Amino acid sequence: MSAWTWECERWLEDAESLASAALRALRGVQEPARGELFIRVADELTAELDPVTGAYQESRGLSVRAAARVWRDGRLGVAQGLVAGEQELAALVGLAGEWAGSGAEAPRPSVDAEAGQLQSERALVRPSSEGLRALGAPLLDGVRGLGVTVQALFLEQRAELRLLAVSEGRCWVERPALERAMARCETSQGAVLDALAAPVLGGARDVTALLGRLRDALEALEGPGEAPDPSLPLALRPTVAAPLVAGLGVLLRGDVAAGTPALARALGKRLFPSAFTLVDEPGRQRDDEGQRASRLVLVERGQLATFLHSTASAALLGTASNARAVREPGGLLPAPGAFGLHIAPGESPLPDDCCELTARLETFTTMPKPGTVSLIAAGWERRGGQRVRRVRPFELELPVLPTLRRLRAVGPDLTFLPALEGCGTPTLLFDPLLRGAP
Amino acid sequence: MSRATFFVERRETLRVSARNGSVEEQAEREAGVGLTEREGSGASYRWWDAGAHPPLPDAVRHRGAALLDGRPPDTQAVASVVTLARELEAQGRAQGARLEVTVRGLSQQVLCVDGVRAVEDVRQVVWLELRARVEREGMARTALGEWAFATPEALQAAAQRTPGWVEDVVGRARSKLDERPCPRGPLTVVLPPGSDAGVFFHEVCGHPLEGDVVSRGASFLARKRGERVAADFVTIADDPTEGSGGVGYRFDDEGTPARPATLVHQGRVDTPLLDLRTAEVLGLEPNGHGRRVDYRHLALPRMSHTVVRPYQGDLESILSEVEEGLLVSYLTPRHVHLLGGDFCFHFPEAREIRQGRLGAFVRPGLLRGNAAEALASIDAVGADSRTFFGLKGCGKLDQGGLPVSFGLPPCASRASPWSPRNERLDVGV
Repeated sequence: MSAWTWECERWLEDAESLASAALRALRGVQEPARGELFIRVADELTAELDPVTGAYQESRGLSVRAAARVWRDGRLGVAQGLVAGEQELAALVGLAGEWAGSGAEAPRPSVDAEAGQLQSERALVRPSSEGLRALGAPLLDGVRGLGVTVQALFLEQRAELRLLAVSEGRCWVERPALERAMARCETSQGAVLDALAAPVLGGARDVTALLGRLRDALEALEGPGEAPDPSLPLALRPTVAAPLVAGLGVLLRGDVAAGTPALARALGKRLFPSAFTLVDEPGRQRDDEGQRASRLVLVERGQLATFLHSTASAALLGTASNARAVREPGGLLPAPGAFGLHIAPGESPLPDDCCELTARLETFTTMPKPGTVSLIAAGWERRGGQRVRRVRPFELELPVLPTLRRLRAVGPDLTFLPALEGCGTPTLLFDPLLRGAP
Repeated sequence: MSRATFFVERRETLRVSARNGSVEEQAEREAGVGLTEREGSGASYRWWDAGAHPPLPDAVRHRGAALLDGRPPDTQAVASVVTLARELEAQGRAQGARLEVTVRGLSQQVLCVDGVRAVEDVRQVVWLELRARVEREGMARTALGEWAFATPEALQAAAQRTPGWVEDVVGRARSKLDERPCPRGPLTVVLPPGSDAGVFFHEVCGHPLEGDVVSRGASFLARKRGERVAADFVTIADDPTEGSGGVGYRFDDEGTPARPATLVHQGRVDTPLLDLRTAEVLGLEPNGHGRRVDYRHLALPRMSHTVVRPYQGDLESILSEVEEGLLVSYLTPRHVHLLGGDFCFHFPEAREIRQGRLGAFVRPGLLRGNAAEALASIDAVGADSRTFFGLKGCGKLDQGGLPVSFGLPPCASRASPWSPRNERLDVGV
């Protein structure tokens, strides 16, 4: 093992040594300029499990990637990339510093007084083949029992150390983890894809809910169906409703709102029925700009309360960040985004008579044009509280805002769907709103 | 018995985008090494970023040193690309359009070493994308143009033709302001040469014949191996050796020599796309289609340059025989059912064909049908094939954005079971 591999391994385990390296690198930023260094050390293990033969193929690696931002006279310089040692951290900071003078104007995130302690709220658990196999085994058994062709079983464990250091000599550390399993099943009418995810590695993982959702979807698809009756109330079960939440999450990004004047003007207004409340739970202490994150109610009983903001997007609308800056693994520059977006559950039961959509066939995208969710959905016609006949798969085009304005009630069954950016929703109930013949 | 293969990669990327009078530029280098160890049908892969890897065997260390060193990316071409992007954007403005210009470059050097051989390959491509938006009386329409070049120098050399490119894209966007309703029901569909519509064959012939899909019994096309699915003159292949400006390589990402894989040979289903693992599972020879998005991933059976082999005639002669139809230039896959072959594509751009002549643009719509029926209905393939190599890559499992291209002569399906439609069951809001 090379010295650097040892250094990477050590950094993943030892946040203090990484913080020291980052702060040393930031000493290259001369006042009055100010800088920050964001570093992501990730241990990633993925595997594909052949559903036919049970053959197991895994891929594992450890990666260190960093992004430096330097502000000089209100102008921002940025540099990012893989780093192969402390010298390269300093080089990134130096490069960002060079570009700061000619960069675009950009606000700098605030540095709050109470920050600065290295936080290790959870012990580091590294990915392991044993853990991944233990996750895959019950899933493999389960999907084989569904009686359909399984196209893919994909498993993932990831342990990260995310560190943000700033010129003022402060650091924030988080140790997020992710365990994920995804199954894609083929039916005679199309593919169904679903996943489970958890923010901790290892331990007994209950695949029952995932298998239940898959079974429910497959039941709707395993026989001939008829066209939906447009005169019936519409019930979107969570699997079908989730793309609406994901789509709304995009529209409520601060940078999107800033480019959509009508949306920006709607702030504070009642856009939706009172049954609709949209919440983002951070599940973490700070966002990726070091701002303290708390529960955010984006829509409260129908009223648009706020957008998702990073420091830069907030400045575009003349407000302050609400700690929703997210840095994606591939490109570490912050952009506004949600952490755990979901519609608050209600108490409404399913109507006795309705069109209940329980299955969503996999499509390449659920939002081919901005603001409109496009699905292929199937399910059941319910009469007198019973599923009386299948509704065959049909194209369903849902303009996000107008559709949610027609929401009548919300069910109690809040479900998070990891295959759709982790969004959560209960069953959404609408008065009859389908039109046209498929 | 375990077999080990090293994969070493150096990847430089360049991105320049110009819009609204400002230009953004970005150049990055990534490099790393991966080690595949195979045993039976299973495999284990470990990867490391450059500088973080364990001691490498001599054969890998010596030949891989130039790939794994810490050199920054080559940015010599950036200044001239920035100038070109600014010029193109200004041309769009001068023509009354808002033009977004994107130039992306990829330069990839790879080295594969196993106990038997060590092979190296270099792959380079530079894409130019123009996206025009025009407005009239509150209505806006967009059009897209994409071109690929081997190097930034080749892009510069072709820059003399750029006024034509801008005019083409802006002109199409403007013509769409007068677009007509999308026709409904079965009618003749024609795919023009060298267009993005080549993605049709990528989706309905390529993916169903990827080795892993075939080995899981999930492919409608593999079940018909050896059977006739199209006319004699229809031959569809995936060919990274064609050398016509699309994706090309001498060796795949497992070190297997590249060679064409004929998916449909003279109308009959033929060969799956194979990497080392799926070749072993299916008892066939690997055919050089093990590809990966980068060194952080295992190779999978993937497409490269999917081509319809030319036959006879040209677009004009094919159009002349169409009484009523649709010329579909762009297709975006929406849904392809591997098990049954049903498909649905969104088409953002198409033109009417009436009495053998091209007519107005029509509104975007959906093109639906069944792959087996659609292949069987192809009744004309032209001789004038051209290459389309777009910015959009191909995604599979956790590996998105793999560069792919299409070689497409004009193709027509006059007794078409492809059914365009412009309506869906939508909500009454």
